[in-house]
Amino acid sequence: MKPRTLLVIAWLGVILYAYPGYMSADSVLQLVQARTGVFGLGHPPLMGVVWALCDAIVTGPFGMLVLQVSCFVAGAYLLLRHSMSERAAAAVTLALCWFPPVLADLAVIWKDTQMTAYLVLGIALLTSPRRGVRLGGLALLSLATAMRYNALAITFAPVVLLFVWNPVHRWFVRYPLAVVAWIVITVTPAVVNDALVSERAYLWHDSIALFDLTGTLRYAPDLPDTAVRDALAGTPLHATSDLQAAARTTPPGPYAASYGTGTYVPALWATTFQLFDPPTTMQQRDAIAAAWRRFVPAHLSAYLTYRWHVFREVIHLGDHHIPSAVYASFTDSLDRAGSAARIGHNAVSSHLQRWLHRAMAWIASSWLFRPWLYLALSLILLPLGRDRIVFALALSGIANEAALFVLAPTVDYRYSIWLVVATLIVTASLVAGRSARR
Amino acid sequence: MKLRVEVSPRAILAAGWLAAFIYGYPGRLPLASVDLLQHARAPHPTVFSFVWHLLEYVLAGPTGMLAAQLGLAVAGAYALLEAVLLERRAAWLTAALIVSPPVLATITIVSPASLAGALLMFGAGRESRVALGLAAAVHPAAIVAALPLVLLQRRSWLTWLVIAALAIGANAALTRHAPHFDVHARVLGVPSTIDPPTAPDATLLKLGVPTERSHLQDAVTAVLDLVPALYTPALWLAIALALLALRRRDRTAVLMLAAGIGFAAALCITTPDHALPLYAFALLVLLRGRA
Repeated sequence: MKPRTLLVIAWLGVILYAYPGYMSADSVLQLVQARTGVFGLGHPPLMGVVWALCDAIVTGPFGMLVLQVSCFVAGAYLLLRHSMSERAAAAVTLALCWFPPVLADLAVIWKDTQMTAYLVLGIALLTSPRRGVRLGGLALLSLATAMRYNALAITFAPVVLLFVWNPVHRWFVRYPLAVVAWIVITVTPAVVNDALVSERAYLWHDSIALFDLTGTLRYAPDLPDTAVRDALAGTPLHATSDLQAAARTTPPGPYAASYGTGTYVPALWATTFQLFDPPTTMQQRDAIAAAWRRFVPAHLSAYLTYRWHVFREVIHLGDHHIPSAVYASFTDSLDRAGSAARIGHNAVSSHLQRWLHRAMAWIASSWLFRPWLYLALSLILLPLGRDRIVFALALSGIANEAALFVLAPTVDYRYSIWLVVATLIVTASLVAGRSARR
Repeated sequence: MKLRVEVSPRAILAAGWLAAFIYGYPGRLPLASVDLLQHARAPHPTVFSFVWHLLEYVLAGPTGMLAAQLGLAVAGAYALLEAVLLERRAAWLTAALIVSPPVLATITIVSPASLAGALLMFGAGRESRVALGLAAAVHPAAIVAALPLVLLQRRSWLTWLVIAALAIGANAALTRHAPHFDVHARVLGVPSTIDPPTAPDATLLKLGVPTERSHLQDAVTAVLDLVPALYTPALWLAIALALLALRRRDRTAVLMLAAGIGFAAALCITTPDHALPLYAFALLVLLRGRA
């Protein structure tokens, strides 16, 4: 079979599984933003712009699905071509696209998936001998950075290790230029996103900072109420006394759906909003930022302990049961009819899709969806990556998880999708490299 | 230095298909087709609903039908043109035919008439009796149109009788009564509207059919709307008759035109999609004439 045929089959398989593209509440909101041009509420405006462009051609999620699947298939093939024959690269691309832990996310219109698709193609284009194509790769990596904050950690190693302005440059010119390129592709989308936002959300102040304060207070050494009050001065405290005891208490479940899946993390969110009220003024948000700067660095060990507990659950290390990582709803699964009416879009599953959903549901809580496995594999393979591309990919996957260690707010498999994709490409490349040497 | 990009005929055909697909996405559904979609998911009392039911195994909703209609039309038209033209030119003309306003406005409607039109084109181009039989089974007017196309394949009129009997039999077996010929007297000169009336949004959404149209689709529709006379079946009937007179020595042209006129005449054209075979075969004869 020709490589092109294999790639078309890979592409078509994902499209048929996902058609016309699965959407969660976030996706529905982003489509509404794309159509109204009113961006914000924590979603990247640049994704809204991309979606508005797709929606102008093909309405709904289908254009975005085609875009992300096409970028992913092309990028994976080009990356794998460096270490194997064309046909083998196409066959591995097909296997990669249809691998359930990849397919599960590739089918959904999420910023995480968009980021992953642009990352794969962007990194592949960085290795081109033509400068124009390499600059195109940088543009795609910049777009990936616009999708999610953790992309800035992901892009650092690939850009610094792979981007070459001019092949004749020695290392002392090449690397500083690459670092400058990374700064440009990181800062530019942040500036553009900020300029496009019309409904500003203070996600860090309103949620993650409060989560950090609660988690750190929980594991900090015993502190008197007065010391805690001083540290948290000005923040919207809900509890009136025994503040540290409140941070160490876990309210009984069930917890709000917005706290996500897992056990430790949703419980800690419930604790957080037992200790704090949501901030409503800018003064309170400034006080939260000041309290974070005062309290967290002063109790770094407690902070790291709490983050480790969160991270352990994010990568499902030691979890006996994990929640299903497969999402397969064409509109917001919590309000199907309402969200369908809002966006004038709905779909029903084909018989083929229903069979595939059943198969995916069966596998969705298996060990294949435990990110710690991919993290461990990446750490093992990292020293073996003598090839620059393989090494950069392995590093970028690990960097994604390092960013999640600090910033992951909830337990969600999709946060680790880049680690999974990078690890799989690295593994396939190394196996192919070893076979070729033999 | 002059840069010359060689585009393969297959790529040209794919581009033509894609352009029409984007315009028609997810498939324009007149009210009658909404009922047929419901039939495709419940008991399917016609061959058309049964075909739709089969396609829903792979792609749910009207998109599978749209893709199939366009694929059949592109393949059939290309085969008819490629028989008398160079491959690349045939591919360009096929793409042009598919995106030409009268064809584009009708083939993107998901309906028995459009599917029958596409199947007739495929049957004529690929000399497929199965396609002609299926066309006759999904729309009764195609039984009339199939006769000249059977003769075009240099087969006996008995073949046509078998096709007609099987088509009627298949529908009768599914419906348990005789096929329903939906013929209403309508003046041929009334211009057909490009956008057929469809079901309310709530009904479509419940069936999993998107209701929003993209800006590009609206813009193309606005362009197509500029010359409503283009969608006047009487105009195309006159063109077809004129071509019939001009090309009376060209057996292929005569039989293709007869198929288009026969399909239209069997129905008196009550909805825009009924005119697809007339438009398509008249245009095909015009394009083949360039050879």
